[in-house]
Amino acid sequence: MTNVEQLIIKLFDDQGNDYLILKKLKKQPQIRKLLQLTNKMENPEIKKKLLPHVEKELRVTNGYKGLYVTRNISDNDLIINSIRKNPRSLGVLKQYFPVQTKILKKLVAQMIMAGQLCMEFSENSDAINLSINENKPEKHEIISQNETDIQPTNDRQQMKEAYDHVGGGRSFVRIHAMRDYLNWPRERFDKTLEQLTSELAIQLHFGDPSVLTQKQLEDSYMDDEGQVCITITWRNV
Amino acid sequence: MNKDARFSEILQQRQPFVSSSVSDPKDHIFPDVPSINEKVYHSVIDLIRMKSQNPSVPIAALVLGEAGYGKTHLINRLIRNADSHNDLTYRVAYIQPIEDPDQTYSYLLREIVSNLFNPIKNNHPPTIMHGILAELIKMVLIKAKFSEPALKNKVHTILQRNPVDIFYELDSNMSLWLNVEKKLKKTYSNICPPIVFQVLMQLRFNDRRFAIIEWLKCNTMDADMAKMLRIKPNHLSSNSAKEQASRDMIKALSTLIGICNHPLLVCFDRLENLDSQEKVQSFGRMIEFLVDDARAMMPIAFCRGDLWNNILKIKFNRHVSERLESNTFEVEGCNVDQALELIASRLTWAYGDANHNFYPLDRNTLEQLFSNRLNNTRYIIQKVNQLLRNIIIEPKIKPVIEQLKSNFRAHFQKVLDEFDRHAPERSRFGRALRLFFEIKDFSVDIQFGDKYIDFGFSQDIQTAKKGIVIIDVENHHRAVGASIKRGINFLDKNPQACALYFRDERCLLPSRWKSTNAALAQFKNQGGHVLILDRNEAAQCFAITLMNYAIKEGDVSVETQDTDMRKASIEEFLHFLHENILNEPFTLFKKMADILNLRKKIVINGTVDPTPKPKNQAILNKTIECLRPQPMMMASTENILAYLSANDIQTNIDDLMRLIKRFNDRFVIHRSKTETIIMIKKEWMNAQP
Repeated sequence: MTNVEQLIIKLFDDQGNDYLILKKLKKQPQIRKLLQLTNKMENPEIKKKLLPHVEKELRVTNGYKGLYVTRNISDNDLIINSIRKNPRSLGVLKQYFPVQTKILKKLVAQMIMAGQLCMEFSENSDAINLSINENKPEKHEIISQNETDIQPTNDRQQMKEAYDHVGGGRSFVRIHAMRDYLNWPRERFDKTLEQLTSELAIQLHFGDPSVLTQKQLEDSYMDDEGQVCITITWRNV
Repeated sequence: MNKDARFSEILQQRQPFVSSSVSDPKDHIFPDVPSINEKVYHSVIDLIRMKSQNPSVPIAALVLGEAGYGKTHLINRLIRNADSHNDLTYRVAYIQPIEDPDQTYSYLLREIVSNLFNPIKNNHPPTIMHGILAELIKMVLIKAKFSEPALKNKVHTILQRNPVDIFYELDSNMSLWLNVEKKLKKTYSNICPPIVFQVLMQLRFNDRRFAIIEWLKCNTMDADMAKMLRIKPNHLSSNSAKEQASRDMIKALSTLIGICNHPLLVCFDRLENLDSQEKVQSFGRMIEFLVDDARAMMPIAFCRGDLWNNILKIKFNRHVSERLESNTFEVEGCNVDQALELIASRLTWAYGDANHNFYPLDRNTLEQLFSNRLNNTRYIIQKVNQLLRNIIIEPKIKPVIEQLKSNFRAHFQKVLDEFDRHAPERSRFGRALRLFFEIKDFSVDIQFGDKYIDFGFSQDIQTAKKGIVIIDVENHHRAVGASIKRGINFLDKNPQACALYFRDERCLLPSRWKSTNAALAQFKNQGGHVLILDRNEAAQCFAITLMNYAIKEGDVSVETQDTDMRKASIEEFLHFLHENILNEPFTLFKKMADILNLRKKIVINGTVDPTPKPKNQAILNKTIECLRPQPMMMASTENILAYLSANDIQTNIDDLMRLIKRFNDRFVIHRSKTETIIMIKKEWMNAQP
């Protein structure tokens, strides 16, 4: 993470926010100094100064009030965080939001359909606020329940943690990356993988070896048929 | 004959486990096993239902699963069951990967229209388009006033029985059709251009179907075709104009589909073939457009999990990936019960008798085999195939190249059988022709010239050869003239070079296009070559392209000598083409080879000498010795060469690879991102070389 990224992330953490209007960076003395910003600078110039310092943690977005610097999380997560912090109507939300209103509306509609968000209504049936649908089971809750079904050995739990960490919430996680993360002796890793496979807790997948380097292939897994398995998925039963 | 003997005889004739792929999701050969991927199927159906109830809600979906887990089979099930839900009717369009990213919307439109002209049910004439139009007509006729009670009764009887019959039973009643057309135009004038109804209402005339399809695809039309449809001839001169017209047409079709409330599920499969950033972006534009602007259509992408997470997702812009990922599903492997159900269903299909008790297999053996993990369907089928081959005596296994030949013939025959569905298509012809040049050691430049030239080719190996390929499927004299002019200009500047002009015989130049025919004659006089693709030649090109897609997806399996099955590699496919492209049935390529003076290379006898020479034996022994202690028993070719050298065996990379390929019973070659990796096969892990 660059120094500028660190400072902006700290600012977000302090304010409990995920985004900031780009112009407001001028009011942060340390950032102003690092980016050599002046009072006269407009958004395009600030963006030009900022972009070389943006790596993985931030992105620049176009929203209701022009350009914003935003945490590099999905737009859905931005909406969730914002509503969780402060339930409000779409009309109010859009005025602060770092994503264009047209896109915001579509995302909110999708999230309502998916049961992630819900609407609160006034007495005369007008829609008032958006809020988080707390009744919808989150994915990790399902997984944690699933975990209780598996014999809770330490290795299995650690492997699940590696799966979650490396996959970042996604499935089809590469085995070489999990091996790298856990840094176990080969036999211990393979044995745990085999146990979980036979318990049908995970699935092994062959995948396409041509997208991996030799080292990554070596750090994948060979099943008892002699096939190279590249990814696994943890089953949500 | 007792039952077992009868079953054995049937297995000799039609063994139900020889095919583990669904190369065309429209095929309904083997029975469906509903319990496999049941959850994903019902989730997709729920989404379609939601789309049907709330057409304005933007919905897209993504189905992830590695090769062999049943993604294409899931599409097959969705197609099979499109009419079997009480409260829901939907239609399915299956989209092959895009070839030319500059024609994003024209391509999408062509694919959608081709799908809309698939039969609603196999072996029945009415198409999906007939079904959609029939629903619209039904809405008008059900409320219409009739002066003749007999006609009213007849119409109502047909509508009640099956609305599409109206095209076949009332086709001669001109005044009725004109009134319906008028009413439809008036009712929907604010949401759909009236000309769409004017053209579609002529679907009742079978001889106009080709012209209607061409018009719907926004292809240029000559005066005769236009006159037949009672419209003005059109010529969209620029690519952007055609793209815009295609967008408008997709929206109009979506409106019609929306009115009759039969959502169109647009399935994008085989995303492995999106092999350039431009194609990925083009795919992204299609998804965005369908979600935002064609609300009666619901895009759903089928992709390998690792490919999506680590390659494609990163290449898409965030809006595309988020749209698709908002409804992500994963296909799963089979547990032992599902595996047994799959095996039983295929045996029932073969025997025509469900009372087989897995004959000639043993249920306990099967249970043991498939209970230790979740297995993908392809693996289960291949494993059972292997077991059966140990029980029943079968003819000797053919070499891989021969198996690919049979597979090609099947693709070729299938294209021929449904040739009308494969309209002349520049990008698919282009891929097949590019493969010809590539396997003949030419370099191909797809950026060569402007939009009228498909690609340039050149070769400097023996004598310098270069040229251009123009594939022309246009139906308007201006567009055709412009293509030929490019050929003439090229030959003016490069009199020694080769210019090849391809045209499908289904779009021949009419003799009344005097100046266009004169230009073609001039092109020939200057040494240009005109190749008119007949039905067989066009089908060869389509078959090569479709087989290429299938191979990349891992959908073509070959049997090996160790009674195993595996995916055919792209190298094997290219080898097959290289060895066979100048033989029957590749007549087009023989003509091209004659034009280019390509002499056929001497083919080395394909049979493998089982006893390697002493030096080769030493290389094999040392290679295995080198690989065994390595993690996963694999190493790069570079490391193997270094090991051989340290053991005083001198060879080079080409000879080593030739040897490894020759002894493919003991080695697997993996092309990794950085190197070529050699790995020992499981049978040779402990065996002596």
